[in-house]
Amino acid sequence: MEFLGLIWDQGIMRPMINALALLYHYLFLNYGLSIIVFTVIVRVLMIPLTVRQTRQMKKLQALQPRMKAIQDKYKDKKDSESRRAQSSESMALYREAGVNPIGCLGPMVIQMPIWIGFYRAIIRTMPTTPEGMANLSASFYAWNPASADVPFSRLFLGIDLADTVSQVYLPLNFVLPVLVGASMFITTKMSSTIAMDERQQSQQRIMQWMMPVMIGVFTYQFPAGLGIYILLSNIVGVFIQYFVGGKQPIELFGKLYLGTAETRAEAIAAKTELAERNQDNDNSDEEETTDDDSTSIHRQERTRGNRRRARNSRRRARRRRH
Amino acid sequence: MRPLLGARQIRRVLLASVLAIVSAVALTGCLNDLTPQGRWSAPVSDGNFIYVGNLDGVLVRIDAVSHAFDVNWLYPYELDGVRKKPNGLGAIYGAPVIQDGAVYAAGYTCAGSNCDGEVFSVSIDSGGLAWNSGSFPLRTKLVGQLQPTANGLLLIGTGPVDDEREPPGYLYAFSADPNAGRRVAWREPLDGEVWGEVAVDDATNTAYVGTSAGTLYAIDISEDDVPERVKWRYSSEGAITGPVVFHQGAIYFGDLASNFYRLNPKSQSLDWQFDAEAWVWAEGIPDDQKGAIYVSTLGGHIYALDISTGNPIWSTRIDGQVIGAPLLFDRVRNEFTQRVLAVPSGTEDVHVINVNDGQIIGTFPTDSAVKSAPVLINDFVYIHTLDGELKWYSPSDQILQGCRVLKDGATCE
Repeated sequence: MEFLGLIWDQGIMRPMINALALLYHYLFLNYGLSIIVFTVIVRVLMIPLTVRQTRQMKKLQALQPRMKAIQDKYKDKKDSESRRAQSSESMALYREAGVNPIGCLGPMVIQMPIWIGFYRAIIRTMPTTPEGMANLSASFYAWNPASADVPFSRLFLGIDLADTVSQVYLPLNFVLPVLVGASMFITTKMSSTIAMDERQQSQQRIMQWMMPVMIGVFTYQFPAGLGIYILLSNIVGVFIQYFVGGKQPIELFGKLYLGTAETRAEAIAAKTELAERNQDNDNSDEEETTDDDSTSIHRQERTRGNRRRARNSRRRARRRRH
Repeated sequence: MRPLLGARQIRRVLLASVLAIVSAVALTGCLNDLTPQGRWSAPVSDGNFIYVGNLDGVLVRIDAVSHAFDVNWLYPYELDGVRKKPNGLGAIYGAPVIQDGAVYAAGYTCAGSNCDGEVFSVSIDSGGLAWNSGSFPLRTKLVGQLQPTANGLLLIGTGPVDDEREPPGYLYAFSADPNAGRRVAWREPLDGEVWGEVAVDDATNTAYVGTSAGTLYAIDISEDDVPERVKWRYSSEGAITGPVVFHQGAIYFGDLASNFYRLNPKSQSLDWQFDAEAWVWAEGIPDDQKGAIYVSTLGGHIYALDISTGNPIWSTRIDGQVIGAPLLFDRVRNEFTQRVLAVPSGTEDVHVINVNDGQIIGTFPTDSAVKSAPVLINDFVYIHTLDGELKWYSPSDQILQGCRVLKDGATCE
């Protein structure tokens, strides 16, 4: 645990605190500006990851019909042997295409420690207690000229960046979480593939809504500086994703926004194909349902006939007794 | 009709929710950084008792001879039947002040940016509250130590109040007299927070106070009603968080730009400035016998500077930050007297340094960080450790003589 703590402190916290402080020193002693520039730098540094993620997404998208075929092949086979076979065929397919099915999560996973580190960096660079101030001195590299600028000015556009968003003035305390949630929604939307069946679609729908709502709610209790970082990071991320991903259109509430004529046409084609496939699935489901219905009608008729026969035989027996 | 979520999907949603909750808990765990801890309070004695602020922000006392903990003398408390039950202020950073049969101290706690501070006075004899600042709530931080003046005032600097209309700090002057008509004699707005102790020159009725904005103020404390209280200001290169010292007609202080200064109050100018390589927080200790002043830093440096020129005589370094003021005393060992400096380390132990050459010649083993000043009382060196214990040692050989847990008076394990 101590080793992990050391890695966290020396590998994430100290560089982050020093980078923020250095930016503060050179950006007119303005902490808000240093957060903005820091965010842009982090997102730019993550471009290679975003490119990789986009490539993986495209490959996954291309594999979807073949994956669906494998799923259909084992649709009615629930035994463990078949499940193993299905899983190994899927993995072979991923291997063949050079795709890691959870590779798309990379940037998201990397973002989490950055957020937590950033949260702590904001609190540690703007200490409110004597202990916090003394601890901050241990975080600075000896060469960092910003150590002489402490305490840093916490005000940016009238917001105290160390205060929680809930303490910021009205209506920004409500607007900021909403903007964070909305920008997160667009980011999640842009980084998800087109689902090939209803089950996947409903899963995606849940994830696309759940994460932004949760982050939006949490933002209300985050320091304002972190809220600004997440919002800006999402906005910059949308731009980067848009250009790195080949200017794909963004679909919001059933409408397509942005994109080139070509990419919009591709998206419409993909959606149409998906709709047709779903329609086919629905038809086959209906046929299965109809079969089931006729079977149950037969079963009901058989039951009714049995009951009638039983009633008649009971009546005959009673007459014989009389 | 098909259910909205399958069992597998429900499991995934639950897993995602658990992860989100764990992340939220990890994030909110960082809120400890916002809570003042205290435990920097140095002990003081009137000869009979030793008074100190404990880790819960309660002023307690132990007998100076028997070292018995006085369970009936504490503040603040709530009554549990007839028994006094500690009800801490949150954090007490400064050493208490003994004056006119009472002990004065200050403490505070914060919830977010809402802070609540209190200055109070407890009768030494009865343990009863002589007065407190309850009738005029100090919604601010009180970090520095109270400073008594010859004209019956108690001075303390404050931090900001969560109100845009208020200045970032004040210098408060309280009347120490329990029969005074008004408790707050006056207050002077400042350009930053005050965390350090105020220095007083009673001969000229001037108080010197440093702020986090890097300004040293010379403030007139002669009377209650003065049209312009600020006599003059000096701007340092960094924030002033440590105490200001007034000694032999000169002002000494350090800042967070790693400088240590000596000012001449008569000419209101800089005599000399020394680059200490790290933030200077602890009080500079003048030594007239050696013609030196000892300056320590948060980087663990200790310097002996020529008090008249600021030139370094020697320097040494210990492991850990120096926050509490070092103790200068004459160590008698085998009938041989040696002038030494006991320097508390923010990592562990109090190191004994020979002031002739800066050599580390011994250690008071504390097994814990020390951020308070060691104090010599009745032939023992008392050290309040960061884990809430009061330990006393023989000054000649640094051997531990006893220890009390300040929370409840129990003997340390």
